[in-house]
Amino acid sequence: MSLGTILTQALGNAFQPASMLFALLGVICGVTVGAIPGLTGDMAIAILLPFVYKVDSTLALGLLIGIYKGSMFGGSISAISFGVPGTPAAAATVEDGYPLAKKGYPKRSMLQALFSSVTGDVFSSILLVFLTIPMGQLAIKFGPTEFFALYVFSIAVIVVLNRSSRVKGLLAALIGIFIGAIGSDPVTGASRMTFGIKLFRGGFATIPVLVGTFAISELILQFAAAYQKKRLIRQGTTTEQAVIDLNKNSDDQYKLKHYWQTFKSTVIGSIVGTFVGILPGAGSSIAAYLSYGLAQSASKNGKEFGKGALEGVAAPEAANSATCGASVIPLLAFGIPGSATAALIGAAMTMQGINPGPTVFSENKIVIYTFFIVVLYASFFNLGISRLLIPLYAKISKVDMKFLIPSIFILAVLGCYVTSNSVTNVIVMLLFGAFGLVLRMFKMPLGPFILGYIIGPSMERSLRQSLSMSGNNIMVLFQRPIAIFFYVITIVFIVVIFYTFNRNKKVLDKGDSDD
Amino acid sequence: MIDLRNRNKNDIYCSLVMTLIGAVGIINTFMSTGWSKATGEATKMFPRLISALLIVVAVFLLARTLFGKNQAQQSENSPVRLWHIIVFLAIGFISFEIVVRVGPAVGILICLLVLINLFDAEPKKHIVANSIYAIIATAVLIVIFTKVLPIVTISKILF
Repeated sequence: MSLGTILTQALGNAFQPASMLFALLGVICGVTVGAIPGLTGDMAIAILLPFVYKVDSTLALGLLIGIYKGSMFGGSISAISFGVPGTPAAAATVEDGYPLAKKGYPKRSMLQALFSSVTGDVFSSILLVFLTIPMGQLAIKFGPTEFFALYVFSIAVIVVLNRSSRVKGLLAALIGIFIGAIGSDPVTGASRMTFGIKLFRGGFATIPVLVGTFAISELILQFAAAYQKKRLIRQGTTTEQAVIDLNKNSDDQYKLKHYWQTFKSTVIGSIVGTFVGILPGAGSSIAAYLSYGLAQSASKNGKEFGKGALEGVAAPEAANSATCGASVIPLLAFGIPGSATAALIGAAMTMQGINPGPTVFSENKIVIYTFFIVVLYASFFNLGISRLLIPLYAKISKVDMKFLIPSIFILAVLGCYVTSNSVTNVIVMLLFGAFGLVLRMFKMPLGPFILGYIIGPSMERSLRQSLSMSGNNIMVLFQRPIAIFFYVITIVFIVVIFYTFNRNKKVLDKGDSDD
Repeated sequence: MIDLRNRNKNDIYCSLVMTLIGAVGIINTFMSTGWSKATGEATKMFPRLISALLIVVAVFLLARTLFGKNQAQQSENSPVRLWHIIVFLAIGFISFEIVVRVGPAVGILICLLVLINLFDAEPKKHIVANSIYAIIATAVLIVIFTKVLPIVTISKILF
């Protein structure tokens, strides 16, 4: 099939009314959950996983990528309105967005966040289109030894970038790999490590694990916080914050000159976000803080950062949104997700019969090209709809959690059940909810855990295939040039990151605590 | 003597739990329970390696916490209590059982009413608003679980 024919079919699929409607719904849903503190895009995608396997792959992926993009901008709304980031990725936006709102410029600040978000997002989406295919073609040449080296690189990256505790990042990745190993041997399919427990036979289904770890654990946290708030309200020691008025100040406008004045910071954010997004498991929060620090150094108004500088909103917002498209690049090219959200999108692809990795371009060409087009236009949907609905979103961010949490909880429980009409799924989901909460309480990051869980079986398969081909000679892992290249860049990366992070210690320490 | 008051208890518990999981994993690879008889030693290699690494890293974390220079970090006062987890998970499972056994209409409504009132600071004051929301949300969820994703129930008393 020629490229022209593929593109024609992909354009036809992408611009079907249903595809556009699902992407639009995704963006609206994403901005809404992002705007509400406590709800995140990860959580929304995890809860929707059981539902998306019933619909066409184009619609499902459009919906999920829409949520991913929308939630990145949505997080800035409550960050600017109340100084409470809607998502961890928007924590850096609080630094200047909230002071600007207090000075009487909440609308300007939110529109700056929106325009920078969309710029960063479009930049990384274009790179997604142009980088993924060459990287995928390179990956086809990989054998098991090269893939094993790539997995080692991914684990090293995710651990090194987790500055708050690299040891805990490594532990989270290892426990993810350990849990992924339970149930069945990825090479022979034989039952193993079940500890004699029926529930463990065949391993854990991906949906209950993801929904439990991301959504249920977060809901338990929200439940505890709401209960604490309820007690404080009864004691009369807390009051509700009022919804921000966006029309209070007639001077509070966003003009084209503001966009150009902050363009340098937006570009810095876009480049940093894209680079960080491509690296496996590096969070959008770290991208936001890193770009904030770099934009501050590069700006003439560096001293104004933290007091309400528009550039201080532009850089982190461009960076966190730029991680969206970029984190899908390694997922499609190598089957290794660039972020926890990309891991969830990868799980949705697998449910749709699309296996992320180098073969995806030969097996699902039309779907992937359609996906590229949807990724691009979803950014503009975000711009259009969010520009229109900002006043509404500002009100939504104060929605009462007593209504939301119970409804989301029932949606998650029953959604998990209906994927296979199995009580086991519900039990596994609830158990992983408790397990995810334990990880959160130990301050272990969920990103490395999910990455370990997803790539663990492939990592084992490539290791065993390599050893089996060489008669159990461990040195086979270090003989192929591409594998050696990955080990070298792992070492270089570790050295560079230690050097860079030590230089920007103060700024990055904040990013770690928010990730 | 190590003064545990100056050490990060969170890290100590974390390392102990991870060491325990690693130890259980490694011991299990030397037992026959939970392993298919058809498999050889090759299948045990990777779980054994990961379990061993888990123990090594967890012990390193423990040693660093106990003997490191850093004092304990100011621990954040987490609002989560054990009973929150137990109650929340129990409600989840009971909700599911009610929905499956009684039918979505009654099951979802009961669960929503219980959960909303549990979250509300003044449930008696908001009883009308809470009930209206619960009925509307139940209707929406029923449409989802009967039209979009048909739920299989045992008795199907209602819907």
